[in-house]
Amino acid sequence: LQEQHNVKRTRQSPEALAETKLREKSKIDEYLALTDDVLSRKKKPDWSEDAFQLTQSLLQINPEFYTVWNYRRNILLNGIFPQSAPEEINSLLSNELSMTTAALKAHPKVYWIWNHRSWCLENVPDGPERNGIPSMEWRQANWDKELFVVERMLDADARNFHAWNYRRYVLANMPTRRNETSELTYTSRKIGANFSNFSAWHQRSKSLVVLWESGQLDPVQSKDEEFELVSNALYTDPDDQSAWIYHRWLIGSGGNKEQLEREIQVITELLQEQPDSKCKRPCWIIVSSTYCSTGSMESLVHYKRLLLQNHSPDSQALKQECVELLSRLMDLDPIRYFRYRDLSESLVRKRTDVLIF
Amino acid sequence: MDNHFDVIVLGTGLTESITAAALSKAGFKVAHIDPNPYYGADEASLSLDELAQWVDQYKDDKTNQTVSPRPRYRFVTCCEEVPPHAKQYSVSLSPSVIPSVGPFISSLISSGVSRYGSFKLLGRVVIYDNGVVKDVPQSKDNIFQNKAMSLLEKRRLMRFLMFAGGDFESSEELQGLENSPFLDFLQKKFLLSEVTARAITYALAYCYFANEQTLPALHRIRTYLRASGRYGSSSFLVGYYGGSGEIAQGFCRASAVGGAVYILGRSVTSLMSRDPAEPEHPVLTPDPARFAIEVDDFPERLHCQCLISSTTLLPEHLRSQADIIQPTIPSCSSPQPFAIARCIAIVDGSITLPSSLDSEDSGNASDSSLLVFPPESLEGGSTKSAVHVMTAGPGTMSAPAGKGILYISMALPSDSGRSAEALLRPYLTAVLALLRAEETLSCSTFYMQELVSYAPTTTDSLMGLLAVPSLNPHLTQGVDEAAIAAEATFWKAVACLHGERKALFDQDSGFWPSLAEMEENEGDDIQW
Repeated sequence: LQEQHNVKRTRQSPEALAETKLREKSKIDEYLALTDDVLSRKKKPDWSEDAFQLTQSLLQINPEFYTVWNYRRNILLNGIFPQSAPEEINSLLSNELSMTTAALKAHPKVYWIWNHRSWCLENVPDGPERNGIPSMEWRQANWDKELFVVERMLDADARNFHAWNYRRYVLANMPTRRNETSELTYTSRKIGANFSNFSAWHQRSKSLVVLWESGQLDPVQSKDEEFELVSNALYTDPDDQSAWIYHRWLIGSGGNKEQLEREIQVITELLQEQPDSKCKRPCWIIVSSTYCSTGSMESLVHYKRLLLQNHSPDSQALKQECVELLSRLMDLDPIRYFRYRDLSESLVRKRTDVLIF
Repeated sequence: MDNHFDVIVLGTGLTESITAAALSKAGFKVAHIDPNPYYGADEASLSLDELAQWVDQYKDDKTNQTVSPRPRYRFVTCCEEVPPHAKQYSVSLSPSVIPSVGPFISSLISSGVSRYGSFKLLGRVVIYDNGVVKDVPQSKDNIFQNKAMSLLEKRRLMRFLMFAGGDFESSEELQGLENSPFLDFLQKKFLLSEVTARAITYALAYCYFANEQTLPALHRIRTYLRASGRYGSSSFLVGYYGGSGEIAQGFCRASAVGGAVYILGRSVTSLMSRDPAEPEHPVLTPDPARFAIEVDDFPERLHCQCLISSTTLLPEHLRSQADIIQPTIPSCSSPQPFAIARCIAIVDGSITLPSSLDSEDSGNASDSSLLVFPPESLEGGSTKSAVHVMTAGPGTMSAPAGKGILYISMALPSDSGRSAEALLRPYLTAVLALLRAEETLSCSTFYMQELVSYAPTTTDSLMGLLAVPSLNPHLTQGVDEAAIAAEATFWKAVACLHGERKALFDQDSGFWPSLAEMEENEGDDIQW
């Protein structure tokens, strides 16, 4: 079993507490001494092997110390690389990558570690030479491994936007590009596992655009399938914002009248399922609330206004529906009261050409 | 061997074993006896040879119904030949799964017994509907990905799950309907389809019967929803090597490490108490120990201050005098059935149910899965009881490679007069058809397990005599009840022994002493 044992620790005696404090103090003193040492060497500047080792010790304790990461890179550039053959440089950089993998396991969201990795990858030499021509094999191997690492990170935490960002960077830089369809499949998998994931939907939207533009997927049919997919998310959890945002992206500027009307119908049915529109808890305290339908209502207002603007500018019925929805929203979501009121008033004044987001 | 003990425990069933381990680790001197040559009593994990011997023991059905006590096992049948590699199988007489959150898993972890065994997550839970199996959605992502439910049904099901996972006791929906039938509640208050309501009732709340009440079912569902995610998406773990029997053995090992003495394979030939019981039964005078027992082939009597026994091993005259621990978790309890009809079938080949989902993890899929037949789902099957089928295979070291075990169980509300085989054969046939394994059934055993519950004694019970109930056969709830009953028994035993060994026992340690202390004491691990 991976779970830690549920054991009540015996209370610590005052002597034990004092001992802990002493141990902590000595650790703090060690750290401060190390910091002083490293920073003074940096000032000289010291590009030696010793200095290199010291930066590692310091970064292991505090990986967010970006000055020291910078220093470490400078030591490599100024001290170590000039004396090394390309194979040695490749090997040193592979080492750096392994070290940062370990660091990322413990600190998956520290920007400077991701940064250091990118730098390493970009500095991998072009070799090895085959028949006098650089084969790029070292680069390829490292980038492949990189994709593997980022996938493990996303398996551990699918909502780590650093990892998603980094994934896009890796995919864009790989010497041989992976096909976009497999990326779409990857997002399907992640969304299937947990659709409450802004990054996964975002990645999906990027993949789809590439596939539509290259002609690999028919945009009309694909969009319909996407609406199907996101409706499942909306009906399963109407409080999840990431699905609403994706839906809004799919609708876009609302040029397709049929689609717009169909989706308005889908959301209206969803709204009718909510048993009681009254909030049981004030909206500003808790975001998730099974009785609040603000996600559905807000989207309905937005889409009906798109319909008004793009296709039926004279429909009084649509305007009235929007005003009613807005008045319910003013009740349910008091912190945005003035926004809803403004929208309502602008509708009544017939200023449908101005869309306030 | 010094034959004076603080506690003697009779029976190595799960509840008794947890109690013995707790008492032993608390520093009491314990002797633990079982007439069977194996651990686990009625929930033992047996090899196929042992199963064959067990069948022989219970095969002669006493048709005379007035014989008392009523035999625990009736209509026991088995195939003629024991399959090869009999020792590579570990079959459970009372299969169960372990909720990932609950008193049992807490005891497993706190006692350190979890380290003696291995566990894996339960795999698919499916429900039988018209010749096919459908996945029972257990979590939000299951519901999201499910292709069979309409959007509206998904919304309603999610709404119900959010309700069931929260504080429903004071909710409007439940007022006045706590005792109403759960199936009706689901359909009326949450507008769920009959299909979905059945899936929730039988494969999420694990009810036995169609008319079971709402409140206990909701309590169970909430427990299991909260258990999901602790180790993985399933709410349940399955123990290796046949589950409960193996775990009972683990607790006995922990007990032995704490200093308890183990005697297996010997019957108790007489049980005597110091205080007067019935005139015709022997009484010890003047012995400072409250009880003395004589064990077959042992020269000397064993004495103790506190006697804990499973209800089945206590003679009638003492059982009526014992403090019988009540097993139930009142909020969650399902009705006690009259009997459970059971089948253990050994099949060749894969026992993984054909998947409708294109799962990438199918390579790593657990071969422990659950298939639920709601009442009236099978022609020739029961109209009142659900049937639960659990699979076990090489994945939990319960069977050798290429083989699998099917456990089929049906709870009966009353005596149907029919044999276990007559009741369950249609289900076995249906499962084999699903697995496309009609030709490869190697062996099947059927038996009817009759359950007896003993009401608490109305007169004053004999001091120091505690009776532990049989393991609740409920697939998902049984082990938690065992842990609760064991803890209650433990505290009663402590109270009764308190005067004698006060200095030894630190009230603040709780049910299990902290692991750190235990690890110090475990230097000399006894060889098994």
